[in-house]
Amino acid sequence: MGEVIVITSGKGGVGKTTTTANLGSSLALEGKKVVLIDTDIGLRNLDVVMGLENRIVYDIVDVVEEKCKLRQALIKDKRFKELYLLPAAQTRDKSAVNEEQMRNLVGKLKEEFDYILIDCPAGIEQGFKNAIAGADRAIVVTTAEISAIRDADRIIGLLESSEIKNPELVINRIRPNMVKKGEMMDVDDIVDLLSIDLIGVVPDDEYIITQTNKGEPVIQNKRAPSGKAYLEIAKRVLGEKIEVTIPGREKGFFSKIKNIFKK
Amino acid sequence: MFENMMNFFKKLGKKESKQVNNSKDAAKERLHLVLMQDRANVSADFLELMKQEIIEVIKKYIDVDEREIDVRLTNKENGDGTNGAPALYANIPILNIKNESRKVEIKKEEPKNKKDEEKQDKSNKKQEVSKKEEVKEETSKPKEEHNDKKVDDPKKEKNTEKTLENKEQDSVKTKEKIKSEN
Repeated sequence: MGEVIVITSGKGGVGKTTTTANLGSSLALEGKKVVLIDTDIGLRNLDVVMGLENRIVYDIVDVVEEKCKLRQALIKDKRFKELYLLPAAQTRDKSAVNEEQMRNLVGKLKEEFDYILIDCPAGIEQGFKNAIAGADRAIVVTTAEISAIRDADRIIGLLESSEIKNPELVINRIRPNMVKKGEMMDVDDIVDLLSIDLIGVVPDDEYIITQTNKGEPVIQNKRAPSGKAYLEIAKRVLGEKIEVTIPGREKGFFSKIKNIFKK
Repeated sequence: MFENMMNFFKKLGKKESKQVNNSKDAAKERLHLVLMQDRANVSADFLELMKQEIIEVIKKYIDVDEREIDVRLTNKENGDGTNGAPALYANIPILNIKNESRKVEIKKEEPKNKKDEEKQDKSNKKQEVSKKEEVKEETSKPKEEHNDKKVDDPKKEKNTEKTLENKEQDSVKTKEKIKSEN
């Protein structure tokens, strides 16, 4: 039986789709059988971030309306051993699917796959409700900005009221230079405010843009620091107890001396 | 001399961080307030339940006009007109202090002044003791932290104890040798 993880945030544009794509790819690299589901009906993006937009034949609405079989809608990503995508529809909206249908769909996939990652749309309306229906676990993505954290708090409240307990946090687009200068909230501040377990910190990375331009997950570029962060998050999802690497916190000799003087 | 240099460097470090930390600290504070208000407002029952319980407690001591009670979550106003920390504001019109509260506890007057004084002394001592205990707790906490860090020291102490013991044993042995030689 597979595990269903919904990746949500409340706020738009903080990195849900990027996280879904890269976390899914990382899990596939670890040998797991993974399916990614785009539930942002009407504004689909997971397909284009993965570079699979030209291979869409059927989508999630076709499956739910039984115009095709589930197998036919799944796109196999040839770059990875066992990675599949179930794209969203582009010409419909989020009312085209309901929670019951989502649960059925996810139930069928659980029998075949190790991990089912659900890319949740922004907001708290039907799209969100669909995405969390049938999920076992949740990852909340936020950035270090006030509006993102505020929305994440609301989402965490909604998740805790649903069946999904213990959501975990990914802090995305951290800029260590700004954090050092005191111009950006740091990881501890954010974790204190939101009070949930931290599962990963991803630095702001230009490679995200260049890789997405090419339609390739950032983990495939060995030079990308964000790629390393996603690979680490995948290991933690699998249960490995690794300490969260926080970008910008060096453990070198000079930083220790600096700390003595700061106190 | 060295301490003065260390203090000098510390002051330098502190000055820098105070000047520059502004925007992140502002963000943290604002977020803290906003999150509190969001969370209180989201649960519509929260304020209502709290208000009811507060009224129940107050009713034990004071007769209040329940319909005129006003309980709100607002921001405290700072001197310069800006919004400060969030505060629970409660305006509770009093109708009457309850008759039960009129009663004054009259202690038995027979043993008279000495026992009263003794009792007062005891209660004063209790307060002093509890204050000392509080102070002790506070000071013991930092000590505990130090203990965690200084894991090596007890081992060192043990080693020195052992060496002392060894020396004692050695001296005992030498004494025995001397005896046996004799």
